[in-house]
Amino acid sequence: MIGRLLVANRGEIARRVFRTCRELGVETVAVFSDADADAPHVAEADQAVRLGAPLAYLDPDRLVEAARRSGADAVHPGYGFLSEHAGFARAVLDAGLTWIGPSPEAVAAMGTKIEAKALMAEAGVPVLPTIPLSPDATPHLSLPVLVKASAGGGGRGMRVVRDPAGLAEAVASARREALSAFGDGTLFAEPLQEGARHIEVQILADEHGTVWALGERECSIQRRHQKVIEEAPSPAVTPELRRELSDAAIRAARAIGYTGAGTVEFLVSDEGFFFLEMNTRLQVEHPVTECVYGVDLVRLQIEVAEGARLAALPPSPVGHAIEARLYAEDAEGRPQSGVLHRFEIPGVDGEFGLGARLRLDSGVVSGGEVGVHYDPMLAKVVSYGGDRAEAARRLAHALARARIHGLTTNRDILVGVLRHPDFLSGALDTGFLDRRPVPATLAGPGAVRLSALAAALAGAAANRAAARRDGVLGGLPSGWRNVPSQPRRTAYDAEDGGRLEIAYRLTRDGLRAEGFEDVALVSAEPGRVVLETDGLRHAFEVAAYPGVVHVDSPLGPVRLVPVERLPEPSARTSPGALPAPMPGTVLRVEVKPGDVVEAGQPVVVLEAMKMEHLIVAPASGTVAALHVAPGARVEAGAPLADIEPEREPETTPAPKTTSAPETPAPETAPAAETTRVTDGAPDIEAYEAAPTEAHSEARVEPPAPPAGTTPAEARTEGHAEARISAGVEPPAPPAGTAPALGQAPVAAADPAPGQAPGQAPGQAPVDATDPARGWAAGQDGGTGENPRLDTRGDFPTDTHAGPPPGAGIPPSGAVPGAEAGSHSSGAAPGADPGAAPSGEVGQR
Amino acid sequence: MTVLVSRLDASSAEYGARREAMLAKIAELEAEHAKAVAGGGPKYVERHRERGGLLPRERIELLVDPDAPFLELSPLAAWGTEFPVGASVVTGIGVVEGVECVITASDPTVRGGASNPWTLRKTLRAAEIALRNRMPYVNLVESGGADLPTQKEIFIPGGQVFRDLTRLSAAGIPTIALVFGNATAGGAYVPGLSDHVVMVRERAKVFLGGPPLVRMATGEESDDESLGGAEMHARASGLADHLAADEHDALRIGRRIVRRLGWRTAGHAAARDYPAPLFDEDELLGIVPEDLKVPFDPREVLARVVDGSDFDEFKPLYGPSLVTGWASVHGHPVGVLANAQGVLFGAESQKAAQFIQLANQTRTPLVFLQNTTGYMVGKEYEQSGIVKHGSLMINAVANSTVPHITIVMGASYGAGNYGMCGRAYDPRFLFSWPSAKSAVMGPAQLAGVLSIVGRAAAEARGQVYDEEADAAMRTAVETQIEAESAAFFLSGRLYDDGVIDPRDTRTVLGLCLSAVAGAPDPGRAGYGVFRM
Repeated sequence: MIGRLLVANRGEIARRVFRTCRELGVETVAVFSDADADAPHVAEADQAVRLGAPLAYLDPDRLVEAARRSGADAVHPGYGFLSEHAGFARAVLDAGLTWIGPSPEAVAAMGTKIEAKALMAEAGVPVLPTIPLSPDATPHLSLPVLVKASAGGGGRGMRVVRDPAGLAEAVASARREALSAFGDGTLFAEPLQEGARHIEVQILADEHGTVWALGERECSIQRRHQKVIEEAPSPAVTPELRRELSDAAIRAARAIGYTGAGTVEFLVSDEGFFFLEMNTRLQVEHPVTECVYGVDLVRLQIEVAEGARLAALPPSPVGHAIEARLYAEDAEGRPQSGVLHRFEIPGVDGEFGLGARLRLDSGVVSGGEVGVHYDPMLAKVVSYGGDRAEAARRLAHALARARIHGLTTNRDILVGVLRHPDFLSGALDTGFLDRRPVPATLAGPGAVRLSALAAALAGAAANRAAARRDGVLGGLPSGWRNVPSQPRRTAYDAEDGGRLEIAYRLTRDGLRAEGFEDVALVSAEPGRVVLETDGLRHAFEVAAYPGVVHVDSPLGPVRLVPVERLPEPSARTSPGALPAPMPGTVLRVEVKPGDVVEAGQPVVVLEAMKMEHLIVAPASGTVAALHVAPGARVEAGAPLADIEPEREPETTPAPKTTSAPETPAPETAPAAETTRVTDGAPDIEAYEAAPTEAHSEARVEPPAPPAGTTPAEARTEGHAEARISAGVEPPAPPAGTAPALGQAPVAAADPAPGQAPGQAPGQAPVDATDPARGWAAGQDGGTGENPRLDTRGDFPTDTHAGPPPGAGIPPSGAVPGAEAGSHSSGAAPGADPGAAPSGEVGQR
Repeated sequence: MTVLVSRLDASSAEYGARREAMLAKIAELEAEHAKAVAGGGPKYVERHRERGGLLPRERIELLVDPDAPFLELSPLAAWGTEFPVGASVVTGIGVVEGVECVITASDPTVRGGASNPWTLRKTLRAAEIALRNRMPYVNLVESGGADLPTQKEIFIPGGQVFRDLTRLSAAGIPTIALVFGNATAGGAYVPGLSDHVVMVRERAKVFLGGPPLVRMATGEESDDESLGGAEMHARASGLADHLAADEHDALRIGRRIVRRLGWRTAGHAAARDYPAPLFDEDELLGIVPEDLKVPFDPREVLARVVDGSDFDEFKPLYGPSLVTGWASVHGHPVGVLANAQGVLFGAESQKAAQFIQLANQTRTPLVFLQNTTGYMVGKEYEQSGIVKHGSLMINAVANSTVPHITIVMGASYGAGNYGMCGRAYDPRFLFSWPSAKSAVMGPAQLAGVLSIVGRAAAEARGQVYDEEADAAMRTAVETQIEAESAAFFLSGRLYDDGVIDPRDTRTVLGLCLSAVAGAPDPGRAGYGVFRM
């Protein structure tokens, strides 16, 4: 019997496993990185072991050591991270601990695609034909096909080819990429299956020869090839097909002597169903199966690991369950980070719990911080009902009314999908979300305006409440004037970037708001405003936090950023404005108006305090204006040039200066600050040959790589990319480098380690024949913003719409060393005006 | 606790007529206020905006705390004169970073913001309010200096503007100048004598003599920027403490300065929780008769102004023509003196004197609600000492050391104006309702007196009195006095701090009572309370 179990994972899956442990009476041990020190999973566990750097979850040695130190006698890997890492499983077993999962041999058996497919074909599991692609001969294929890397995963080395003209180049680039990523350029091709569904079968096997198939899950709703909505059962699977799929899954499990919980993934199209791969671990979306079958899969995993026998037959399914994954990301999929001020899902009747009508599996709590290091999945919300329609309606309502404050999430899109006629009719395929079938926000323009008015009135009520508290004319009417001259004005920036100007007066005769002539104010309190329009009353719940206001109402949640009434002048400069960081003399101007510049490219050289300071472009773009000429004396904050950014930058990095004599050393590059590790929340299951993979991406908007940038240069600019390939043991990190953990596996796993940090430029080009090209471009802008180490397990690229290799990997050159600024201040001792960039003169 | 009972019948025709008349007056008032708000008119407003300037009220709106009240003072200044209504300056009381401040803002759209004699009086009044109530004084400066044709009215007394600034500072009351544009010649001493000075880059211009004058005086060639630009003052002369990037920045810095004052008011803290009046303030419109000769019960007003309509009357049976008693307004305790029957007799005067002494004993601010035709005349009253009794009341008012606030609701005639704390008796604040009238006596009486005196003179000379001329004279005098006793006219001459909508009375009182609480209590003078 297991007495103390360590979960080698974080976030919601760690909490999920702990919940079952508490029920079973098993003691719990959490592990955590420095970034997760205050995370809920740490607080909940009986013991917690600090691992260190953000990427430490990927370090088998530390995890085994943590288990040893805490006295754990078993390890549950969760999903993602090292959950499909045969080496880790082996290390756990070698340490004399119980491994909650299949044998390392079973994990390894699913290692490469060509072999796994051959194994499955042998066992009588349907597979698509494997067309070998030798390096020398260009084969004659009937197009379209999907080119895959045998050792591949995460979509790498994968190309859709429709046009014979593009074949040779597609194969060549896929091979380069596969070689670079996996050290193995073996390719093969499969006939492309279009409009296919992603359907997977949950299996559970004990050590005594019993294998259960617990029905299928439909996972076709994906965005950027990551699952977001999953359900059981699939609306498309007939009892007959279910039987066939279950039989095939059981055959697959038996073929490799599988034990524990696992998932066999199939592609289901008009032509039949075909084995994709097997995920040798618990799946993110396992709750839907638990709901429908009334089982606790984690409990069964533990019991099987303890040698228990499964009943001869699995339970029968009842009802329908749907899971939605809440991600902190914007409409473009860019991950968000910051404080999650509030996280409340109304109607939840079970956290991680069985038997709930509305189940919440969450890795976050109100007030928690969502960092940049890990996958931005906040929670899974699962509804269960007698039928699909009931479950969909309940889930949509709960999400629509959830109070999620502080971060932008995909909640609105989830609700839109759950209410979409096509979804409700069961007409799903993996391209559903790519067609953008639902608006990015639930609240339409009218609702947003009304919500902004409510926010303004709630703000007024809050201001008056503060005045009452302070005893400064608090009892007088709000905004009272004996000589009214103008309305009170306030403004908010909406999520779509539009600015909402609200002009109102509260008069003896009620609300007078410009553009809201038909709106009457019923009541206004700091947290709640009731408005009446056209005889209908609407209540708005308003929550104001520093820099953001959330308005929740049945009209849809609205997130508003209040516009400062009197902003500091420095905050008003345009994103591309380049102010002088300190007073000095312009030595040289390196650009002329109209020039196209890259981020980090020198624009002006400023001499101050006998030092030359390089003023570099904060973002890539065009030089819109130059305000200085050589010899000009400039004050701190004086505008030097305007760079019109290439596209709307998400963040405005402060202008960088670099003291001429030196460039930041690589080890000071902010990689550690800007890496993000996925805890595997994105499903690893769609993973191909590389069961575990992680890569980190630099945080800042990635411009196109400057020609001729060498990887070494890229590294100095702060990019870091790390990945761990299947079966490759990440060695101990080199000491003394902060981002070491992130970089160490790179060097080990990557045959061309020098290229890893910046991601070889050669990988960036997207195959012209790739239908997912548009996506790739979007991804480029997206993930580059918010780097996270991403286990990227959920690249169900076998659905033949996979992303091109390298997509999502920012090209190099994006991060002109953030600490260059500190260099400059260091280089300008006593250059005090730098401290007052507002241009204001300090009192003397 | 004594809750007032209202006998007002809001459905009566009389009420309706009074209400209509008052609403008409309020509409007139709003039209006059609109003139002040319009400043120099669309052309000059447009020109000012083109230069990137904010209007004075826009500056104030950005300076004060969002959603806090703002009481504009003397908005009708210069009404009925050759100068535009408002007198090219905006003054008022507003809350900045939680601190009640007196704010003045010159209106550059009105003749360049030049000061005329009414501008001066309005400005001096604002400074007086800041000094007496100990409120930080914020000047939003952009003025072209003095209106030269009227310099004789401005130059000599105008020195008080600068004297006041430095005396405020000497009294420990912070003075802040945000310079948005011209502050030249004498105007330069506004920033010069302020504690804190912010100048707007490329806009502020502060010098004693501009380039032409300098060339005339010394032959030196110069320009505005080198003589008085914001950059120059921030870097070279040190006259500016803060260089603002633009107007918004200046206002931001101004707010920051006030925040850093750490200003604490010295007076009593008001109660935080208090009930609103039980009766609708809207009904204040239907109380005052169109004909001021008809008296009205001030308790109907109090029932709609004081907290909880709760009024403990003092000596209700003695001298009933004057109502006295205790109440609170927005949590501030007050003593109230309100005329009930217009005329003040000996008993009313003695009651008032005693009540004022009681308020001084408990250090309770007094609110005077005026509707008086003056002290009673006639043989009987003279013989019973009405002059002595009136003097008693005037003496008490004049030497009372608690803050006084006066509202002229209706008539304010004769020495009743004095006894009920008219302008000459230095109430901290004085506001009028739109239909109020103040004069030595009513227009008809005044014309009648002139007629009687004229007739007597004619008869003494043995002449026949010209009845036709007398009638014409009486009409002319009545018309003139009527016009010159009206609220707008008197407000235009700064004899009050503004004409207010009666429905705003409670709000205005609340704001003023909070302001008067800003100054420490000077303590009471001599003697125990004399029983009258």
